[in-house]
Amino acid sequence: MSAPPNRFALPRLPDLYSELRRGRHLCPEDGDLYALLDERPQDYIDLFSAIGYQLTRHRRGFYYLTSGAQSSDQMQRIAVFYFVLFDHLADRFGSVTDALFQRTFPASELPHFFTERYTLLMEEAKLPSLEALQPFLRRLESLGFLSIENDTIRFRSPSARFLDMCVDLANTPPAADEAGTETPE
Amino acid sequence: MAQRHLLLEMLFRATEAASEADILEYIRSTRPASDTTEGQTVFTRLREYGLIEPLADAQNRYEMTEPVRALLEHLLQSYRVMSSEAIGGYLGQLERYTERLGAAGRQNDSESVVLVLKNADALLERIRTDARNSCLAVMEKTTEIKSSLQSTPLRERYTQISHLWSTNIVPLEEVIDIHNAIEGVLSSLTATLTSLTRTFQTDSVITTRVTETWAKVRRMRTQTFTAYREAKLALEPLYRSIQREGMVAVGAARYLKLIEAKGITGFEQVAGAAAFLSHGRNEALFSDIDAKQFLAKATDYHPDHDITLAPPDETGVQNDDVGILQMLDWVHDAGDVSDLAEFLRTKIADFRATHFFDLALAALDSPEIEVQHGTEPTETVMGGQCWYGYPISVKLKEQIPR
Repeated sequence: MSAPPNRFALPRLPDLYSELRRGRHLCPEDGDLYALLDERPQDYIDLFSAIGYQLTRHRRGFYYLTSGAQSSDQMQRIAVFYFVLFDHLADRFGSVTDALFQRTFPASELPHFFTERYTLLMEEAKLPSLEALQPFLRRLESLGFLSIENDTIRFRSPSARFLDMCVDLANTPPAADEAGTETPE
Repeated sequence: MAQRHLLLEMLFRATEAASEADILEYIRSTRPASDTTEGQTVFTRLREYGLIEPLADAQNRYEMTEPVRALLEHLLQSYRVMSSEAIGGYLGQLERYTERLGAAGRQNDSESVVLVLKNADALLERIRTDARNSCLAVMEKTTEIKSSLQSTPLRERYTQISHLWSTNIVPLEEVIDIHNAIEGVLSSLTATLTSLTRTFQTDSVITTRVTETWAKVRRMRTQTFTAYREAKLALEPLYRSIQREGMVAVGAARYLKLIEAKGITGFEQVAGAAAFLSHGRNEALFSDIDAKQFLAKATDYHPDHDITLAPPDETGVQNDDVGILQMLDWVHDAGDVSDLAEFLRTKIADFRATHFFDLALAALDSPEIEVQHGTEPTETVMGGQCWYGYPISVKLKEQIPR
């Protein structure tokens, strides 16, 4: 009788685990590592599930881990960064999604400190200046949300997670103490 | 009257029937400098030429006649769309006509019946025309929006399209929806028409007029449905595409307002946001080293035979109850435990790898337990999967009375 194959004989598992565990979002641009994951997604999902992690494949094809536990402080700050950007793009372009993924953004021209309102929101995320934003952007790059080349930012597909968050909230009736926040201004 | 195009346009754009005084004011304000005709004379001519007519059920109220309105609509390329408010007005007016028809029928008042039927016909025609105009307005505006897709910011486009949808498609839906109030009014009208044909069956004038009104009801329904279908076909793709993008803008704006009001912890108040923003880390479940070791073992595992998984042990302690103290009790009772995973599997119902990691980590941290790694790999079924790894043996450091 021939031996049944081991579903969990997955190549480069420790590398994938390390990357995903530290919050990296893996998308096709990540080459081999992504290709291995995408070749047998269900085996990886089952294996990670067995040790308590939820490996998710987004409809745009990228992978990431969630714990389903409390939101992390870091992710909250990242969310503020994205929502300010979306708010700005919605006032200027026909589609936030297209503008986000089809354009590049010089780091020095990010809109996050264009207005006092945005600056206050960024301060809330402990990002009070363009200088403070630089290491934060590097962090976003290491998590796979964007890439930076010659000081120019290109958003990668995992940024779509924050677009999803906005759509989810827009579909949720406003809370009683949230009056007046529903319509786009 | 040809020089009075401004007056005609003003009458055309009037949103409701005007009084004689209103019309005299229109005449005065639009009078060409070279025209010295008295206002009252112009007013009389408007009536004589059939440009305006009195509203049947209102004292001293006039409105533009339907043929002239239709002509001006064409000339001005301006479509009077059917708003929800207008439908409310039509509804009330149709109800009144129906009541008056019923009353006239009961009194055998053929003259009143003819007059009211004429007004009802005009109203039905107006609804039909408005429906058609709504459809044309939607198509015209849709083309306009499509041509400026790239240059119009999302918020503006979202507002335009949502407005177009709510002011044109929704009212058309209201007219064709058979469960809507207007359907009730139309049913009541047709029932009254049926009654009139019985009451005036020998009066050919009445029966002919009733038949015409009936035909107008049918035509209005059919054409409104067609207008609705065409307008929806034109606008729906654009409406659907803008919906998601619009929601991104709405959601982002709501989040920002929430943060402004409640600080960054405002995220915690949004259902689902916490899960969205949860990180890959699942603290305190087990250490990286344990997990990596486990994953490495899983990778290396090569079974030499099919493994039949045992059914879950329902008799064990429910896993939610198990903590380090419970484990210490078990280890105390058992003495030396040569394979902690296998040992726990016999103790805990629905035993899973996560429980093992939890308790193994607790054992490693416990000052009361001595832990040693085995040298021979073993197989353990956890969570419906067979795991292969080096066993952990545990024993209490001292036989502490428990």
